[in-house]
This record gives sequence, C-alpha cells and structure tokens, in this order.
Amino acid sequence: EIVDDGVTTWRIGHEEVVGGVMDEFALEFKRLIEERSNGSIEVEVYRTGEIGNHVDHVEFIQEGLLNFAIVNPGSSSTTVPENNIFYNHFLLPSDEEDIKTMLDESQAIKRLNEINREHDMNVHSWFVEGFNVWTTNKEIRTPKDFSGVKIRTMQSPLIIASYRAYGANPTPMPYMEVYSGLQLGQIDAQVNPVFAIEEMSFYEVQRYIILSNQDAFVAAMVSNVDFIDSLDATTRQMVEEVIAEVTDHIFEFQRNLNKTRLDKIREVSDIKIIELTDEERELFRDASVSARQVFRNSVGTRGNEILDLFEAEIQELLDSK
Amino acid sequence: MVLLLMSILVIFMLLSFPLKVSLLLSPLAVVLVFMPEIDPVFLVQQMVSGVEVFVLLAVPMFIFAADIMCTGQTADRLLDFVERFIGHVRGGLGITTAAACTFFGAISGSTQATVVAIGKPMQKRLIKAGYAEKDIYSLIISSANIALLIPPSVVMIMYAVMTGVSVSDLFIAGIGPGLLILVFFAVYNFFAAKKNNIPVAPKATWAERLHAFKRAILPMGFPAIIIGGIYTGLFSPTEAAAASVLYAFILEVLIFKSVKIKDIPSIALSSGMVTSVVFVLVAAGMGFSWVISLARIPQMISASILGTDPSALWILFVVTIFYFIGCMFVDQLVVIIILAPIFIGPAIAAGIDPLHLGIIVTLQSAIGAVTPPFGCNIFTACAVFDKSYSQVVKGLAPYMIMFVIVSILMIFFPEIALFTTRFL
Amino acid sequence: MSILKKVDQILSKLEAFILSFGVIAMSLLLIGNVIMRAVFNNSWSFAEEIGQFMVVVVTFVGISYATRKGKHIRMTAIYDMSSFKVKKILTLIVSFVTMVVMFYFAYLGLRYTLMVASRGRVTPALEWARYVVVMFFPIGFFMGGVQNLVNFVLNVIHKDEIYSGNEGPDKEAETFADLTGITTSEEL
Ligand code: NA
Ligand code: NA
Repeated sequence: EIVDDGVTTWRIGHEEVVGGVMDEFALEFKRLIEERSNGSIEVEVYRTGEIGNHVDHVEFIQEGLLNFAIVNPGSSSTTVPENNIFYNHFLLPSDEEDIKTMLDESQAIKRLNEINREHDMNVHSWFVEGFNVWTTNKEIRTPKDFSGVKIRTMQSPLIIASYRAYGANPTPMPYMEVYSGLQLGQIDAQVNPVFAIEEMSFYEVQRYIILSNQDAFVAAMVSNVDFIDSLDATTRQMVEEVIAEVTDHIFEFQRNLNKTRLDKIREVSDIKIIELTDEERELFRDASVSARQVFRNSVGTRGNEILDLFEAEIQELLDSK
Repeated sequence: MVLLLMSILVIFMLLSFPLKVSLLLSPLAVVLVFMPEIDPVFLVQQMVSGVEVFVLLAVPMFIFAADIMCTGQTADRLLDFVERFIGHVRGGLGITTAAACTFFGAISGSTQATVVAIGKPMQKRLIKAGYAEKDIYSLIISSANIALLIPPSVVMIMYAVMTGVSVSDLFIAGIGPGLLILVFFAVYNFFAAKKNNIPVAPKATWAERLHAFKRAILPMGFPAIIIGGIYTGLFSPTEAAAASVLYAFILEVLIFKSVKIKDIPSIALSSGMVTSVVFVLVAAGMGFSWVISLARIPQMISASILGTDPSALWILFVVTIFYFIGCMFVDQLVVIIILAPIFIGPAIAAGIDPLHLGIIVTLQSAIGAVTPPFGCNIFTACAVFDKSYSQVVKGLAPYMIMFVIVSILMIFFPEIALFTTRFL
Repeated sequence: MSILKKVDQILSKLEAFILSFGVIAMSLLLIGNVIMRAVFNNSWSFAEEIGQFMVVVVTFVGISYATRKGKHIRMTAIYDMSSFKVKKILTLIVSFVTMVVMFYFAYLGLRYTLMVASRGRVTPALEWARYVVVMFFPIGFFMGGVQNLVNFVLNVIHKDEIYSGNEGPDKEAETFADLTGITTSEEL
C-alpha cells in the first residue's frame, strides 16, 4: 500500500483478461472501495501478464507486493496442495446454487482457509466461475468414448489422474498453444469453463461441447495477512462487506456471462452442444473414484479430514432437498 | 522515471557495456530510486519466469539443427539445388532468403527460430555471391519478421485473447500484409543487386539441375518432415524443432557421415552458449518491462495522448506509434498484454474493425523485433553469426523505410488485411 | 595461482558439459514425448516442466561460459573508434561494473531462492521443490561475476593488451569481428 497526498493505493491482481469473471470482480471491488472510502483509497487493478503470471501473483500476495489477489486453486496449490480439493471430479454439487451455498457456508472450507492463512494468504471468499466443460472432436457420452482421446489439461497430477481414470490421454500443453494444437490435430480435446472457450475461440476448431458438470472452476479472493491485519476496524469491516457484496454479485454475473457466451458460440458456429444425462454422469462418477486417492495421498491428515467433512456436508445439503 | 530508465539503458549501451548490464541496471535503478516499497528481489522472479517458457525451447533446437546441418553437407546440398534454379536471376539469392524466411515462418511461428534456421545456411552463400555483410544481416532479421504475420503466430493468438477477435480470422488477415512485405523486399533486393553489381551465375543446364536435385533429395526431407509433421498433427511447432535435430543427426552422422558422433557434444555446446547469450537478454527484458508495467507508465502516457473522443485515424496512428516504440524496448507479447486493453475500447467506439487493429499491432510487433535497441532478432543474429550489435543493425535503414511504408499503407488501406477474410 | 587455474579449468569443463548436455537432453525430451504420444498414446505429463527447467539451466549457466569467451552482446560502435588507451579504460570500467552488477543480482537471486525454499513451493507436474529450478539464477550470476573479476584482473595485469574474453588477449584489439576470427568484407 502506498500513501501519497493522503490517498492510499491498494494493488489487486487477477489471472484473467478484460471482460473475464475475475476482471469483473476486481473492477467491482475497486469501484465500491473507492466510493465508500470517499476517494481516500484508490485501487489499482493488474490483470494477467501485466506484472506477472498467476503463480507470480501468489508470491506477490505472500510477500505483500499485492494487497489483494484473485487466484485459482491451481495457482496456489503448489504451496497449499489442499486447495486442489476443488479439482476432485464429482465432488461439488451439480447445481451452481448449491455450490455457492457450500462455498459460502461450509465448515470444511473455513478449515481450508485456516491452512491458507498459515501460508500468508488470507482468504475472504471463494466463488464459482462456471463448470469446466469439455470440447472434443468426437461425441463423448461414456468414459469408453474417452479412450485414447488426447485431451489438453493443466499439469496437475490430480487432474491428469482424473482423465486417465476415464481412459483418456491427458496431454499438458501451454495455454497459448492449445488453439493451434487443436487446429492441427496434435490434441483432440481440451477442458475449460465456457467463457474461456469463447474467449480463446476453441469452438472454431472443435466439433462438440460436452456439458458434464464434473467439476467447476472456482477462485478465491485473498489478501496479504500482514496488510489485512494492519487495517483499522472500520476499514476492515468495509473491506469484508464489499467483498461479500461482490461475491454475491459475481455469482449472477458469471451465470449470465457463461450463458451469453454459450449463446454466442451457438450463434456463430455449428458446434454441437451435448448435455450429459444423469445416467451418463453416473458412469463418469463411478470411473472417477480412483482419482480421489491421488488428492488424498498428496495432502496430510488435515487435508483428508477437510475432504471427509466437505463430502459429508455436501451429502447433507443434497439430502435436505 | 522514464528518463532514468531510458538514459541508463542508452548510456551504458553506448559505453560498450554488455547489453545485459544495461537491461539489468535500468529497472533496478528505477526500483531503488522511485519505488522504495518494492523489493528488487522480484526482478529475479520475473527473469526466471521470463525464460521458463516452453515454446522458447524451439530456439535452441533450431540452432542445434542448423549447426549440425551447416557443419555437414545438408545445407550446402539444399542451397546448391536452389542456386541452380535462381542463380542467374538478379538478386535471386536475396529474394530466395526473404521467401525462405516467409515460408519457414509459416511453420515455426518464431522469428528467432527463422533467423537461425534460414539465416545460418544462407549467410555463407550470400557472402560468396558477393553480398555485403551489412545487407545480409538486415535482410535476414527483417525477413524473419514476416513469420509473425503468417500463421501460426503467437502474437496473433495473444491479441485475439486480449480483445476477443477470432483467431482464425486474424490468421487469415495476416497473410495479405505478410506477402506485401515479401514483395517489397523482393523488389528492393532486385534493384539493390543491380545497383551493387552483385554478379549473376550463368544459367545452369538441366543436367546440372538434375544432378543438384538428386543430391538434395534427402535434405529436402527437412521441409517435408517439418511441414508434414505439423500439419498432420504429429507434433507441435516446438517439437518440430527437435524432429529437425533428429533428422539432421540421421542425415549427417549416419548417412552422409560428414559429422562424427564425437563432434555432436561440441556442436551442442555452441548451440547452448548462443541460446544463453540471447535468453539472458530475454530474461532481463522481462525485468525491464515489469517495472514499466508496475509503474503504470503506458497507461499514463496513452491517456494524455489519446485525449477524449479521438478519431479513428488518430487512434490508428497512436496505436502504430505506441506499439512501434513499445516493441523497440520490450518483448512483443508483453507490449500486447499491456497495451491491448488500453486501446481496444476507444478503437471500437471510433468504429475501427478490431481485426484491422490486430494486424496493425502484429505488424508493429514484427517491426519491433528488428528495431534497436531491444530486438530479439538482432540479439539472435549477433549470437548466431558471432557479430557485434553494430554490424548487425548497420544495414537496417532501407528495411525500416519499407516497414514504415507498409505501416502507413496499413493505416489507410485496411483491405490489404481484410480482403483475404472475405473469401470465407 | 596454479590451484586457482586448475579449479577454473574444472569449472569451465563443468559449465561446458551442462550446456552441451542440456541441449542434447532437450532434443531427447521433445522427441521422446512425440514418440510416447504418437506411438504409445501416453503423453509425458512432465515434458513441459522439464523442458522449461532446462531452458532456465542453459540460460543462466551459460552466462559465465559466454563471459569467458567474451561473447555477450555489446554495442561496440564507439569502442571500436577509440584509441588503445580509451579502449583499455573502457574495458576496465566495463568489467568492474559488470562484476558488481552480476554479484548484486546473484545476491538478489540467493534471496529469492531462499524465499521460494521457505515457502515450500513445489513444481506443478513433478512436485519437486521449486527452489531447485530457481537456484540456477544465483549460481549463474555468481559464476558470471567471477569471470568478470578474472577479466578485470587480467586487464590490470596485462597493461599492453586488452582481454575481451578470458582465454587470451584480443588480437590487434581492433574489432569484435577480428576477435572471432571471421573476416568481414567491410569494417565499421
Ligand atoms: Na508464423
Ligand atoms: Na525492438
């Protein structure tokens, strides 16, 4: 935080480009903070690549160069492997409202946040940016259809194990090479939220979009621990209120964004959009069981306890409906 | 702040310091003087992640393959073949170099790889044919830039991501301007060869051509393997570079036996050193641009220059100048990341086709790679040909003039880029 | 002195080995990954990570090797036009200041390595300790600084010659091009 002419500047970084969900979060946060502090606080937003990549942002937050950052679990999990919990397939509910309820209220998530705090990342909220969906060149309805399909995923061992469990051939590749890789047939498929598929034009070079709701792309609004603890009570309260408001706002925003972008894809291309039936999803759920052990092995007792608790809480929520 | 940054950069450079020192010292000075709250340790973070980029692997691979080919016979056989056909044409070898760079750029997507893979074998031939050295390096590094306009192109993908333009449309729109530059270079080389009295070889007989063709059959497997491999999806452009290493090894060591297997480590050593010399500058450049970006310098300057409600022409002009200047000092991708969000809003508001803007941006990024002081093509040429910086950039003026002409044409005639997209 | 020379020779060999092996290993890694993916339909999940790691190693280890050989890119237009005395002074200043800059960045690199180590960060695919990658930065810059120190000392000891690299004086000390032994058709 820099103070100049009585105006304090806070820095927030995020991992997306203009118009993404994180960008909306950061800009809305900026707007409300500047408004409610009557201009005594200014917020500077740094998008992906401007001062570093997503992993750099995690270090910036830990060391205090950034005051706030929006990070996805894949970026922070190289220091806090427990954050990978969200990449377990068929763990989160298949309804976005339920996911939001869990992210807001789960005790397991509160314990996850304690671990993050020990690593100098103060998590204010988790929010969903949409389900991860598959784009492919062949119709995929059962794990069998995945056999031998070269699907580009992130490098994480858990994600790789998940797609291996379906019989696919997960092929890590730099994000910027994916479009050409799909176009030239070096890979057959990739996985990302709808808004990113539209943003990267992947629909131009694929035949199918498969909506399977196996896992969702979530992100956390975090702050540097020393910074947030140094704020006076009023400012701290303002920050917490603003983040809570923006987190609610962003849920509707991402829902609309993913919907409009899916509509746009439908409009400009003849890509086929397939929604898996509950029976088909069950086949994938059964196949995914073995991968969860990869997560369990990568985290200690606390991580396993958090997963147990999270599974139980989700079951409880679904049962209550 | 800008003054300190630029003056340290230029003064140390002129004092004949290694460029890496200029590029390390200027951002460090700015952090220490103007940003006391920032720990300079993050310059290291930026330098490490700046070279920790998978696609950069293509560069040492192409250097390695070119080193093996040039040590052995592959390059000679291929170029003998080409010369039998165009040796009697005025400026033929120069034109061939430009065309080969364009062609190779369509494969590799990297201007540096093009400098190495085409430039290295062509250099000796051009000297032998009577070309002046200053003309050779400027020809090679300028032609290599066409690679950015011919798909695939990382710069275009990055712009598409930042602005939401379709990647395919952008790829297709780059072809027109790319070929236009090639035509400019070809015409220039024809007249320059005439003016400089570059001798032409007597026209080869068909028997000679056939003989050269036979000798070149195996080496011609190179383009076949690289293009075939990429377009059948067997490998990525980065992996194609490694495939060309393997093919060069098979040809030279196993078939022609012109390179001994015990020579391979020392060839690899020289490739490794050249890679390091160039990549240290890439790394230092990341630290340099990090400071500029952190201090929000581009945003501050652009806001005041653009003003409120700018006209379409003014925006295109400002964009051209900004990217041109930006790419003089900083890596192209970084410039796009920083500047694209600033300009895209006003541009669309003024009725500019974002595709048109994208091609202008790509063109300026391409020009940036040969515009001193910071230019990856220049660094690569210095390291690969073992020439001083001044020698490499000495003959650039005519090419810069042609680039400026094409830039102006691009502002006033968007159809140069857009006409190809109409066929879809 | 002779022990130092011996150590220096061993280091030089080691650097050469890392550079050469690094480039060959990159080739094998990429070719191997193509074969695994195309023939065995089983991609190496670590190919990207190891490839990036090797770029880091080659880049930073190469600094010192290139300094020995006097191969770092410089703009010598003004230097080339100067008299022997000015050249000598410039060379002394350049090697000394470069040495200071290299050592300072080695120090920053060491601090960054310790920072990464204390955070316990791992690499994404293989989950190795991340500082193993980062530590090549301070190592490379430190070794580079040592070579600049050697260069400075060489230029102080040998009053009548100029050392651009550390393996022998510049012949005629005219241009960079002469140094490399490549004859040029025209001079600057
Ligand atoms: Na290209
Ligand atoms: Na440049």
